[in-house]
Amino acid sequence: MMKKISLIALVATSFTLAACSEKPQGVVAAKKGDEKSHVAADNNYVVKGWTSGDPASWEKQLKTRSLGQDDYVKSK
Amino acid sequence: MARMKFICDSERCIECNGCVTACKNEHEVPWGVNRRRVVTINDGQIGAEKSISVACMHCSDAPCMAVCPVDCFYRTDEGVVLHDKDICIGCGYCSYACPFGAPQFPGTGTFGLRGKMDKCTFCAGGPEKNGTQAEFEKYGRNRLAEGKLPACAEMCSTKALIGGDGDVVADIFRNRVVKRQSNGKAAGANVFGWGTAYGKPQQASGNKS
Repeated sequence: MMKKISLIALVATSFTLAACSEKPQGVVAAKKGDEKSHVAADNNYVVKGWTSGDPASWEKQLKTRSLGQDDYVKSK
Repeated sequence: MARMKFICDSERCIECNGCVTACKNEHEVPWGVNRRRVVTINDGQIGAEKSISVACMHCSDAPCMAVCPVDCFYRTDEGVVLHDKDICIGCGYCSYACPFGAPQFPGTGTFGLRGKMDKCTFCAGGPEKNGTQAEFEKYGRNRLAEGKLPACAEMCSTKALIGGDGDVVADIFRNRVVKRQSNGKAAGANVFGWGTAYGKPQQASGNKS
């Protein structure tokens, strides 16, 4: 009889305490890693002249593009 | 690669708002949200009116990152400050911390609900896969991953706003200001921010020659 009561108490306690448990709410775990910028976009708007995944090639492309903003160079 | 930076030449900006329009169009930014805006001082005063285009400055020691209670910000290898909208809770702390008013909040929800923060991404998207629809819907186009520079800078008609690798941008701006100075224009080395960024004009001219 005593064993039965203990068992029931144990089951009841486990159900009752289950409501007290919390899901992990840490945001750090949810943070995603961003893809590197030198990995070409998955669309049809990528300009030609550089290789996806090659940082040096991407940097060269952006430097060329940046220098295009210098109108003194353009007017020479 | 150095850090990505914007610089706006107040002597060239004509307050056309082309940069603002380009940004809104490129990223399909909703009503009420302006990732970039043009600020004008001394409006209407001849000779004293100055305009400057302002957005997120992608600070090296960003105050928004420091105050975010959920740590949703991160910095890319190129120094672009981005954030994860899946983590952002829209509290607005970053808005109070930012000296440029860059963080924006959509106001389209009911009962004045403030949505998740939106800001200039230097056209670098967000933490989704580069160039995907999911990235576009949350953060706009990822032009850097397309081998391009930010739309606002690339389409600026007077090239007042220039963006890109900080070293290249600084060289362009330095050359421009030195040329102005040598041509005897008033706004040469006295240009806004010059002294802070590059020191005294004589030193800069000397270095260049």
